[in-house]
Amino acid sequence: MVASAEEISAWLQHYFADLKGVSREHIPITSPFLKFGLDSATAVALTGDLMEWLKIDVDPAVLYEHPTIEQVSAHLFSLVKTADK
Amino acid sequence: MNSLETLALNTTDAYGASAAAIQSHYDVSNEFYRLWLDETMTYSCAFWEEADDLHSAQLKKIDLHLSQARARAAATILDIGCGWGSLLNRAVDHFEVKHAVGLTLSEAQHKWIQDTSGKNVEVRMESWEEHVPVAPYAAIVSIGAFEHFIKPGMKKEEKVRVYRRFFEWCHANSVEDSWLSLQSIVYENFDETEPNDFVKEIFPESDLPRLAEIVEAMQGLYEIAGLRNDREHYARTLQVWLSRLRSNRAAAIAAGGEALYRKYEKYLGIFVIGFHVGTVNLARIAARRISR
Repeated sequence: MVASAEEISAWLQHYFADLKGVSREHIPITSPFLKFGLDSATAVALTGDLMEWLKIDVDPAVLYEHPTIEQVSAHLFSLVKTADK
Repeated sequence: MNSLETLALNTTDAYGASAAAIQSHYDVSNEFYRLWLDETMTYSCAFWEEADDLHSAQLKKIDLHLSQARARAAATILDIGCGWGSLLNRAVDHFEVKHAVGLTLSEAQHKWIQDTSGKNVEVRMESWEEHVPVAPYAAIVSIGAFEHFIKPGMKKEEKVRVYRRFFEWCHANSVEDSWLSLQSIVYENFDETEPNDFVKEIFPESDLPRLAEIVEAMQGLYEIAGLRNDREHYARTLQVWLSRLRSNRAAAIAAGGEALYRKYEKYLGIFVIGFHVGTVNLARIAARRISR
């Protein structure tokens, strides 16, 4: 079973909540990642983890191309669906 | 000139990365690089058109530079920082170049070219400053070497002075009405006062130019006839390299070890982002030698 956009969104919220040491409610899905202190090393590690979980090739720049949790979750879900076909 | 400057001028590797620094990056393992570069082992930004795969995009890049340098049917061409020799081979096999000379500071690259290239290709393990041509070159290309010409921490004026020495050398060692084709990563929207320690570890003793420094260093020696800033081409090249590295994870770890694999995975990823957001750019310059 492939992950849904909501599951990807929740995964990212957890990831940034852990990173920032705050609870999930403090990570709005419509805020730009740069507000959560995203740097390139974090983005590389995060996209590597996403790749392992979703079993798809994830561009390290995806969080810059789709700069909110809401946007990137929708994008990744479309990739997962395509890969699953 | 004070004694320190005299000393520096007399030491061939004093300005840029030393041979040891170059080898620490390029000599890790040919097998490791072979797993994620294309079959020509071209380790620099490709030139992409929509339908290209990595190999065809690398050939297009090589052809772009050979064309920009007006290398077709040339008696002799020089490739400064020749990598594993893909441009030298292409020049001889497809551009009717009679004799193609490549310079590298990497032992692994030097041996690779000696073992795999034909008689019209010559590879030398020396820097441009050490190289004494038999005769002036009809065309000069340099791809991905300019990034190693100066050490970190140098002031803008010092950088320009070293870069100018490079262009003076090219000018002095090429024929009238010849061309130079140059490709280099350049700083774009980047703050040099906050260098990235991880990147410094990947490319020791090396620092990047700014486009303005290259342009300033060329004045009176070369006129710029063509300039492209192709950072999106490098983001795509790096993304494909990273994807290939990850697909060959087990073999890459077998060839270079787990730590090397992780280091390169991180470095390629960080550079994908750097080119994507424009902290760095990729300059491709066609320059015509000015007669003096």
